Amino acid sequence: MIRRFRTPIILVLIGGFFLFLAVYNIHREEPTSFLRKLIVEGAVKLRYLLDYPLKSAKEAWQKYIFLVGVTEENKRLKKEIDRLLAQVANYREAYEENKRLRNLLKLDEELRLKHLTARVIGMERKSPVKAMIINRGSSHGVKRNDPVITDRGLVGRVIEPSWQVSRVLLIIDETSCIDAILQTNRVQGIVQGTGRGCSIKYVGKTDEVKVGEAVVTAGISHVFPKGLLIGYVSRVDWREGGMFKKVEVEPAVDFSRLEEVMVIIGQDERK
Amino acid sequence: MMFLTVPLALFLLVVIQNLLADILFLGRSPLELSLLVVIYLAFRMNLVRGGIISSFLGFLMDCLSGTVTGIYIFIYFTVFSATHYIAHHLYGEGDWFIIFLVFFWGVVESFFLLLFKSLPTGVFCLSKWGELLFPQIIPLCVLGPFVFRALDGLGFIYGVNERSSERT
Repeated sequence: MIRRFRTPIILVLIGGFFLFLAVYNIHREEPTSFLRKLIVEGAVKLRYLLDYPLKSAKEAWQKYIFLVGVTEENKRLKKEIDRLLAQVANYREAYEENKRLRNLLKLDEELRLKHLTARVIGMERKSPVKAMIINRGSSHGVKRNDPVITDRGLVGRVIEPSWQVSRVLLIIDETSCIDAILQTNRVQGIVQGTGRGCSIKYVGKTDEVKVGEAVVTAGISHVFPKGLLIGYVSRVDWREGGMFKKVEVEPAVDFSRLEEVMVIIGQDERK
Repeated sequence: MMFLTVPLALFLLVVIQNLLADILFLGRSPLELSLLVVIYLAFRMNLVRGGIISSFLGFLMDCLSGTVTGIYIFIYFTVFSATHYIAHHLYGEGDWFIIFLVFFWGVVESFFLLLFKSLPTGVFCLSKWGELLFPQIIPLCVLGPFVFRALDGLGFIYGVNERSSERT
């Protein structure tokens, strides 16, 4: 009898082992294994090699086929540059003023935002884990849970640092949870990814939340520094009898246009 | 020789399928050719070699898709074992049968992916199932029979027609 069912029993046992492995790893926060790092690094290098001829062909197409209208585009861009330069001058003035005020308040800006600039080399918004790959890894000082931001706001956090590259979990992923606070009325909640955007959990029915209000990090869990912009409230919903409001958040960052990001390092020092 | 070339070929497959998805669907939808390969192996390979290769392919998918180690290994091993069992008892290998199998395993796979994803948060969102399922399952169903024929052409390199000879 057992002999007859030997093969299915072995298969079920092996399958059960793999299932156990998956469930065990979900609840474990261990550093990325050597083999995993090796495969990710290899894949990034191979992808770069395979992308190269495609990019070259695309560039050639853009350079030679779409030359029509370049002069007009050039004129428009020059005007845009002038406008942006004026804008940058204004921002620089404000930045200098801000710096002076911070110095007055004896805030050590360097310690608060020790960062690295990284280039986005892969985007996985449609894979089971909504993530992206950046060209900075543990050899540059990147560690697990380091926040990743842009000038527009929060992008996510590092979940898998390899040697030269790292995988960053985007805030729109369903497993991403961030302690957040509404900027004006200081209502606290947890921002969770919904796949396309985010939503704030645990906002009480009596809390006043307005559409368009900025949502920033609360800095409670020590993963994200306080005050990073996450996004803006896009919809507020409350069902009769419900304890919490349903608050949808539009991320401040446009993930489809990400090219360069900043990784905030030195988390341990801050803690 | 096979132990050296097969892992490399599988690695290449996983990288190329991501590249193809970016070119064909502009990164809006994944193209999981590896699932088709696992189903194909279940038809053509013996249990031990096919099981090892499917698990390795699952491991590569875990590494490159960012899921924790074990999720894709479990899914691919299950797909391989069950399809192997089905292929052993049903001698159907027509295009519609392949399309049905690909569709069925695509549904099961996306269900498991959602289930594993809901474990840390404790929220299982069934509406996400359709979002995850249809953009990738339809291209896979269409490609299924063609991939089977293409792999049959390449199969002799790795001796994957062991099962065909077992049957006769």
